[in-house]
Amino acid sequence: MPLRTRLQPGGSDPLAELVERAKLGDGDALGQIVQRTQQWVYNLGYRILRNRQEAEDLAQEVYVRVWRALPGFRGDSKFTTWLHSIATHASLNRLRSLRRESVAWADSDEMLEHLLDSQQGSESEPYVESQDKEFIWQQVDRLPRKYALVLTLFYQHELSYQEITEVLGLPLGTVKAQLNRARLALADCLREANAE
Amino acid sequence: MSDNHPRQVLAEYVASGEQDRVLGEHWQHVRDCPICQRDLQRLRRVEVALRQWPMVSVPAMLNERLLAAARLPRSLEENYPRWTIWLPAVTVVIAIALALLLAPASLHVALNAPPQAAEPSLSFFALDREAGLALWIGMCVALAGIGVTMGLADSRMPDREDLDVLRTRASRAVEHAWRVATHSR
Repeated sequence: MPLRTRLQPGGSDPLAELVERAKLGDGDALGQIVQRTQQWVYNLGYRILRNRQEAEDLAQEVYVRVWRALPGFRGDSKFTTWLHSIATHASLNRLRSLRRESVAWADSDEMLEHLLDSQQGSESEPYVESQDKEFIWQQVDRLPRKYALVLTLFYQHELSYQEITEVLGLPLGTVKAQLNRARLALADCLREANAE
Repeated sequence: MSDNHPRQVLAEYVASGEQDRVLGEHWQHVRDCPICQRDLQRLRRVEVALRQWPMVSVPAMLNERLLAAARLPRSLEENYPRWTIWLPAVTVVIAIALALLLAPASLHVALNAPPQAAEPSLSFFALDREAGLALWIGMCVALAGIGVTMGLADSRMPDREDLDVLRTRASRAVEHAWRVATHSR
């Protein structure tokens, strides 16, 4: 069963029928929902918490909440959006409680501005594409978490801008700006790596 | 956006691919500026990499663990519906209210009764008057404490974050115990 379902903006919710069954207490439907969505939840938790064990614990907490809150889910938004919202807020709450990086979320825009303000260009681009990819993927984990979060939702989970605004509770312009800043920060990481 | 180079615009352009709408007035500058051209190249590489960015793989045992956790809470609520908390709490409150209403009269009688000859007795008011009063008040306070505690415990339920953690840990402990038990057979 494919774990990754492309979310079409404005399209019908592929999990709607399963959700309705699960709301009535159908354990098999819940099992299918868990199976089809667990990678999103786990991946999101990992991208925010940056720790596999914490991401596992978080996924468990998320599904406990989902299962308990499911009877009250009215379907105003897609289930996947609702699930992402629960997972995101649970991850951020967990991150705050862990206090691993007291300024990571609040935020380390200084670092980003430092990167963005740097105007030096490099003459050579020695990286081959496959190395680029690995390097860029690694650099995402060094970005402030709010940028890693929007990148994850947009590129890995393939949520639309509208869905991301619903999940994060941010205006559309803010979401787009954060995505652009994250892209630029990664581009600057490439430049600095090539300059070394 | 920097002072000289429209970097935010470049980032949006690379992501959207819509040259006319996004680049607009910046198009000519971007075309002629070597810094913007290099930025553009790097942003394209970033875009390609991000579009192929894989999700982290899910641990093998996570599915079972999630299913077990997801099914646990609602069955707990079915076993322990809210009335099982509210009914005892209301009962305790009524008991305390009745005790407070009735206690002063009975205590007043007991306290104003003429002292009797010291005879061995097991009755409550045979105790020293002050001790009896203290004991009575202590019981009322204890009962009120139980009622308040139960009430507070229930009012915390909408928040539920602590309860979630507790249940998660409990389910993990049960899961671990189950594995140990099944492996030991």
